[in-house]
Amino acid sequence: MVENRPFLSFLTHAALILGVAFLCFPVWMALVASTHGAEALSRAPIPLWFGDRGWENYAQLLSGGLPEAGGVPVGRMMLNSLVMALMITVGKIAVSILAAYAIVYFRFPFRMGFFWIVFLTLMLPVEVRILPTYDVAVRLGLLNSYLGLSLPLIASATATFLFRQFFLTIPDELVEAARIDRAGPMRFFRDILIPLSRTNIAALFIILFIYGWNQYLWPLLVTTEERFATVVVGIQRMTNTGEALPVWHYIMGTTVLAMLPPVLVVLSMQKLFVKGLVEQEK
Amino acid sequence: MAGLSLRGVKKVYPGGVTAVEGADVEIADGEFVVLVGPSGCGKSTLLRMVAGLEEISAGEVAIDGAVVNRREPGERDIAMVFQNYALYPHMSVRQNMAYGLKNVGMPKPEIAARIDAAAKVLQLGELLDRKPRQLSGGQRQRVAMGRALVREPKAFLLDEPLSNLDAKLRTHMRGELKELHQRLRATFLYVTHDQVEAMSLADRIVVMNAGRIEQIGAPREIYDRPATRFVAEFIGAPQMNFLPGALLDETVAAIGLRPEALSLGGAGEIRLEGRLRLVEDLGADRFAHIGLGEAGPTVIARAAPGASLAPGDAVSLSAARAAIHRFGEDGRRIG
Repeated sequence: MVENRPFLSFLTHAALILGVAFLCFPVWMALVASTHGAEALSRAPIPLWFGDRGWENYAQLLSGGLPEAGGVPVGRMMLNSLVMALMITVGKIAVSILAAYAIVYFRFPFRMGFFWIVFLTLMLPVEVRILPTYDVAVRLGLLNSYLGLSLPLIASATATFLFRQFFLTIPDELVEAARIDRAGPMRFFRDILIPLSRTNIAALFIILFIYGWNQYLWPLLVTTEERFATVVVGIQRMTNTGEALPVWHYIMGTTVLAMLPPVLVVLSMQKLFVKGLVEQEK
Repeated sequence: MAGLSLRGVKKVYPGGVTAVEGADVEIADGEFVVLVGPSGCGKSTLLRMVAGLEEISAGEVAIDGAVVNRREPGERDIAMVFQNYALYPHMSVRQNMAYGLKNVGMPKPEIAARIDAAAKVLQLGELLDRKPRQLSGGQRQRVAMGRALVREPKAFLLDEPLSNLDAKLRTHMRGELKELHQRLRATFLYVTHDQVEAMSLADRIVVMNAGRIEQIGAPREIYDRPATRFVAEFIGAPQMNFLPGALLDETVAAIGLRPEALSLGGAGEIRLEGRLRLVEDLGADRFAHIGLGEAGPTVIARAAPGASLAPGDAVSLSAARAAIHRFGEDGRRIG
């Protein structure tokens, strides 16, 4: 629609700006709150502009341990989150691309059966199978380890399905050309399939990284030692101060810090991400 | 370079559909053989069996005397050009051409030398570092040819390589392909549904229909002496006119006359009377569609240049009796 009506374009812009403001306001508040002291935040009215305690707050968060968070520096929690999120992301992509490769390109008995079994696990996210999964994790001795944090979250029906759909769009002729060029199964996978899936992998990387980073329930359950706490769990711990006043300036500071890695991932990969979602190299 | 031989090659798909029933073709070293037929006649399946992309149900395919039935496509020492070119989209032209050579562990300097040589032959020089999506259809076609060329294979297999190009470019590439064959003197097996391509490119044509080979022969031979009614219909445009034998005092089931064998007016041994229905002017040729009698069949005749023709005119046709093709009840040629 190409219409030149100033009022309409004013209206659409107003609606969009309002929407952006609505979405950004909480982020703004977190950012502002993290630069004030505890007293400023417990008094009404809540400050809407930056305070002067920013450096101190963030220095304290990153280096020193906060008693409210079990004495673990936020830096450590972020590292834990990063390791967990990366393990989940890389693991999910690796497992699902291989599964999709097997399902699409190899003829083996019960091929579609396996596909549907993988597909059915869509209905079994961690939250549904949390007790049996926890039981398995305990028996395997995975409590309080990075492996325990990530392994149960790695299997991914969604990613397998996505790769399968993408592989099905790759023309047969390309596969045949590769066979004539003497590319064996592994060579074909490495030289042709993975480069062609690049944008899909990037899109999935972003989605899965954020999924992994935001995990809450499972890390809460499988880690009891403070040194394995992830940042999302850490935030929750800080708010549970019982009788004492919540340390809002630290909580908000941690929140801001926790937002940074996903933002960085999205910013650095958004070009590929958009490409992966809208266009396909054929 | 080497010859190809197909002996009783048969393809039966699981489920019982027979795509190719026992094809026997001997292709000499350096020969350009075109498999032609309507879609679904099994010509592509036959080619794919030679390539090794399709399993052979029965019979033997031999390349340079060695039976290759059980060999992988990559081990048959053939090169294939696909209908949609099948270039690797993420690789540059150079990488596309190098890929097959790299996979067999050829040393880099030799790969580079072969690519340079092929690029020179196909005028791919400036394109070597482009990606396939930055190329036009004709250029992609040339790259696909180049990828086949660098392999220096025993035989080139081409599966409708020109069918994705527009008419003008197709004619041009057809010429290039023919020239390339003359320069390389390599064995070519070429699949097409276009009889013009078959006629213009082939040393020998294999006409296929419904999984069977109808006729094998040089283009001229196929055109002049079609072995079956199917071949006579399929080769030649506009197609041959068919009339019941009785119409011209012949004892056979059907007779065929090529449009150029019929002349308007004139004095041949055979005469037919009719009324002009329409005239197709193709520039070089004009084809007159003539209805024989009120409800009779329509025949197409090539009109002599200059003659004035108007629909509705009563015209008489003549032909030499020697120009008649005779076909029996079963569609086979008689005489």
